[in-house]
Amino acid sequence: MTFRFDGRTYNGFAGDTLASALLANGVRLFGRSFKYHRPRGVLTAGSEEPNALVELGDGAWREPNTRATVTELFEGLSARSQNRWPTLGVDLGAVNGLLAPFIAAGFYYKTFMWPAAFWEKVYEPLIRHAAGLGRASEHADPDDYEKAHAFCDVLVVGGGPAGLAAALAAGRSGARVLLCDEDFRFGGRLNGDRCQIDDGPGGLWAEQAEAELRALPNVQLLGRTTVFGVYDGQTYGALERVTDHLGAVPGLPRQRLWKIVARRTVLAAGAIERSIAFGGNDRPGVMMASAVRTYVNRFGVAPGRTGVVFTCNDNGWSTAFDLAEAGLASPTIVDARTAPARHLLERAAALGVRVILGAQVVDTAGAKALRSVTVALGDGHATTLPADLLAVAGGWNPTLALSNHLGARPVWRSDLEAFAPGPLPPGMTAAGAANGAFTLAAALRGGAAAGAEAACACGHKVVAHDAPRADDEPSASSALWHVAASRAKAFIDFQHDVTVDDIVLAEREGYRSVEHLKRYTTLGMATDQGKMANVAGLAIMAALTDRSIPEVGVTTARPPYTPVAIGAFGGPHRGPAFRPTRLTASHDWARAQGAVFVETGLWLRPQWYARPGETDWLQSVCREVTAVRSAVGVCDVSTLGKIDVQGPDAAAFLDRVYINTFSALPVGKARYGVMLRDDGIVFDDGTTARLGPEHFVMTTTTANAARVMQHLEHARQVSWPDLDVQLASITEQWAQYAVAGPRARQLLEAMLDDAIALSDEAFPYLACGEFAWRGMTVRLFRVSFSGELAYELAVPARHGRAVLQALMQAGAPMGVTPYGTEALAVLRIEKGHVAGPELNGTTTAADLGLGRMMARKKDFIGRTLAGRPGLVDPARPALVGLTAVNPAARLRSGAHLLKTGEKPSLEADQGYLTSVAYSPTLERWLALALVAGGRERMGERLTAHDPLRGPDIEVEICSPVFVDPEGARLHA
Amino acid sequence: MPELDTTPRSAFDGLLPLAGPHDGLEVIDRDGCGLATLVVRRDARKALRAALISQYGVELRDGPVVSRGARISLIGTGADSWLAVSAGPNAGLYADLAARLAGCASLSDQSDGYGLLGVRGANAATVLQRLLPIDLHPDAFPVGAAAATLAAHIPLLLWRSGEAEFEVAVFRSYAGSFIHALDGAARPFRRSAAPTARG
Repeated sequence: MTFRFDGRTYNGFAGDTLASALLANGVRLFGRSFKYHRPRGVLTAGSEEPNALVELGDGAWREPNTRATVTELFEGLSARSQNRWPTLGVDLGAVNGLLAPFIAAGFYYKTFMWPAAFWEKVYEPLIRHAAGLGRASEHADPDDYEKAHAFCDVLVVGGGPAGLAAALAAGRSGARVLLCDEDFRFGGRLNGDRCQIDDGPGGLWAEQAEAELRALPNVQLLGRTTVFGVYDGQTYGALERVTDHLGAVPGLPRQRLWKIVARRTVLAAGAIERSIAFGGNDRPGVMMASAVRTYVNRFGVAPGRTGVVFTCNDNGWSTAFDLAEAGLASPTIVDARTAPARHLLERAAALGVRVILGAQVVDTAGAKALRSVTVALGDGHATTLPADLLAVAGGWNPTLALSNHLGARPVWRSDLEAFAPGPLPPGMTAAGAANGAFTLAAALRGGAAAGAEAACACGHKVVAHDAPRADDEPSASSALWHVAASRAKAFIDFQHDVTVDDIVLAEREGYRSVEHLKRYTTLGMATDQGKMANVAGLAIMAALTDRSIPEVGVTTARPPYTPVAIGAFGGPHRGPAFRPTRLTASHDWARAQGAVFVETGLWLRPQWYARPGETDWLQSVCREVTAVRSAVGVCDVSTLGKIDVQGPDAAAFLDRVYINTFSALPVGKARYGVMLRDDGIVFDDGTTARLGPEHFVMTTTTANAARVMQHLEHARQVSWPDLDVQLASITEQWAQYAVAGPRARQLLEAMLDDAIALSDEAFPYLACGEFAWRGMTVRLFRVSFSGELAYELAVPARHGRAVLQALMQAGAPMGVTPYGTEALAVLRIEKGHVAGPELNGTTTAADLGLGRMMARKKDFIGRTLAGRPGLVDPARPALVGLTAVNPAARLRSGAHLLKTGEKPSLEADQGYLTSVAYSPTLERWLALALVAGGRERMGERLTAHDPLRGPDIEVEICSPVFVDPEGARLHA
Repeated sequence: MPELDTTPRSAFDGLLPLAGPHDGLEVIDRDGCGLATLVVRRDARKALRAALISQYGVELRDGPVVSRGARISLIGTGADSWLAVSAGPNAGLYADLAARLAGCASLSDQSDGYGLLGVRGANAATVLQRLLPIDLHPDAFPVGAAAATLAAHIPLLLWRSGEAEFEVAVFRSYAGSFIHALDGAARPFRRSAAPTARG
């Protein structure tokens, strides 16, 4: 496979990571560090990598801070080093390293304090220019992402020895098992370590275990999948990298975000090897000992020719043995301990490995790659060893991040000298290295037991199987956090360039608590969340303050475990699919007519129908309003909520939810109704028609349809279960069209033919009926929002579009015009009808001039609290109309009202304009407004004050009904 | 009298078939089946059960399950409520139910209110599981199970009519958005998709 790094082409193999392939090509320098621009190489072979961060992809695909250690190589991969200028080799920012004494922890806080005015103008732009790691693409994410759900009995997090053993134990019992591993190859440390299971290589056992699991129908394996978060209800977030290793694949998403619900979870996420803080421990060529083994054993890559292993535990010795057995020049072991186990010494001797005991690495040398290491010997002398590879084995920290996500803290285990999982989230058990069982045999045992126990807990019978056999390899350890004799910079947090000196400084300045330490030094606040750094930082603070590590504090983790692209959380819900849209039956027709749509909740409604030649929305809206007032218009009102209210007690039920009475409404009539919330404030309004003695059809506003349905169901099921009433939402069943205007009757007569008599006597204002027409059942309501002679025709939705087209055809001779929600709003403002801006959650029925609708002889929801003194205060804002004294002045919705000459203040506020429209009928701007004591102030002049959009305008209070106050048009 | 195109328009007109073909997945528009909301009247559960047995041979079950009959099935949708679905095309379902169940249930025609889809095939459950926040494993959602749930923020009714057969009723206005979501979930199973990374 060929790939590019910083413009150069290299070759690698399938199964390589970007890191292993670059190492194989002799590349040691991967990037520059965050603060000091120090040359950095590869530290680890896993997702904890803090150093080898690169930019992947080009243009919109550019993704910064990608860990080369987990980036699977593919043909054509293109990566660049980051945080360097102009090139990785010659980086001018490295001068920061010389300034190091000045940019230690707290540097910003101290330096940029004064003068304060400089902060915004000078300091912040400078800092922002210099800061940041990697460059965002600044383009929209070009990739597709999917979301998926999964359910299982047992979720196993991690596919190493413990995870595989757990999955096998649970899977063989028949439990539904989901095994996730972040690597593209199952096996965990078995891929990187030379070990034996059941008399064969550990890697072979892992392959066999994976094959057995894949053959079980009740087991699902997700490789390349990181379980990144634990959430309530035993829900887990996981990210599957579907095609990151393939480049872009048409038809397949880049990544898939899984929401997993698991009855039980086995946390088998392994452990992360920790570094030791000594001078120059960040130089390219310094690597974790386990990573060296992985590169040698798994990838067949020699990360160096002359190796030194610096360790404080038995585990580190195996790296030296592996290097020797791989035929690399005999490495040297520097063990801080004075007396390791004899068999280690014997094996070292047999392999020709030089051993230096009771010694510590104090410094390293080399410009862009390691050249030598300086070792302080036990006798006080020092020696310098040539080396291009230094493997560091500082012990292990269990990977317990997921155990913290619901708030639990880890516990310190002095036997391990490490934090282990504390109280676990519901349903979770920890196994293997994640649980502090660091040897292979213990991991296999613990995994199998945890898997079996989890399956049992889910009701599955576990059949005993022969446990995989392995030896407990030597694992004695003596914690070493920090080489005190080091003079050079010793790094704790590699990604944020936090050194031992920074922690010393923090302690000296009093930032001793773990929370202060973190914020003062930025320890653990990089994208790796301090996977390598946090425990070491605590340990050094503990030593400085003469406390134990748990006394200093604990370090916890939050989701996500590793970074997740925002695009993955968005999934397919972007652009027009950001949320669902609801379309009416005649949506396509409206679009073809030039409709401009407006979002009303999830609905798209025609706002106006632009005609060729119209250049301005107001032009279109005025034409539509004029057509309705002078001829006839048709408006799609299908989005209004429609609720069937049926049953012997339907009328009694409506009496209780509306402020006015419906039990007296005759069959074949409709009535306007207002309902209140429990607190007496107006909730919703609409007309309700009685189609039969036990059958009403209620309409609600579009915005409140679902809430009204909930409100009614609550009333029916909880408040009055004794009432025999049944509810059903029928909003979607019926397409409904308002036909309004002086020629509305003429149009419907032409349309409906003899199906129904429409004379004012036969079908007067507020009549309703259901009848058959052309083989379908239709409903007709004589209701009007515009104040014109108007009807609403409801037809089964599948016929909606055809019926609307028929209406347009039948109405063509009458000048029928489709109109949208803007014209609808102008018409209702002209008529003084209230809508959303007035039913705004603060108004009472009386405020809106509907107080007389409140029946006195019955009880209804909201009645009691509507009688509170504050809600019946005559000084409350009341609905009025407003016109500008200057007829040419444009009113603005939201403008506040002041007495003429008053200075604007909260105390002087007289009310505000709720709805504003230009009325083509009256040829001036009109407004509805809520004005304190407004109904008693007819004719008074006030000032409309809108400092954002225009000058003050003198207005006059009038009746809110501007057009046809006597209702002649309505009853025509 | 104006011309009226009385061709019934399915909620999924112009939206189906999905761009495929897919492996182990077929999505069928079941437009034409009669649909009606049925809410039992107070104290009439017994009478309703008897009427359903005598009139339709259906034994009514409570809860989120399908009460299956030869001509109609009843999908449990909530407390006291069901969605009646005819086995095949039936424009007269609502009128028929209203007449036969008068007095023991309130009925509302929903034949135009929902779009009804059949989702079939070996991968039907896998594709739907991508979208649905409920467990579709046969142990958790066996044949005859029903649910009122969400897919991609779209409310829907779902029931399982066979091991590899699901029915989805989605409000008519959401048809376009639902098909968009279903198409996305089905994309990895398109025969043209790369064979890797499926599942």
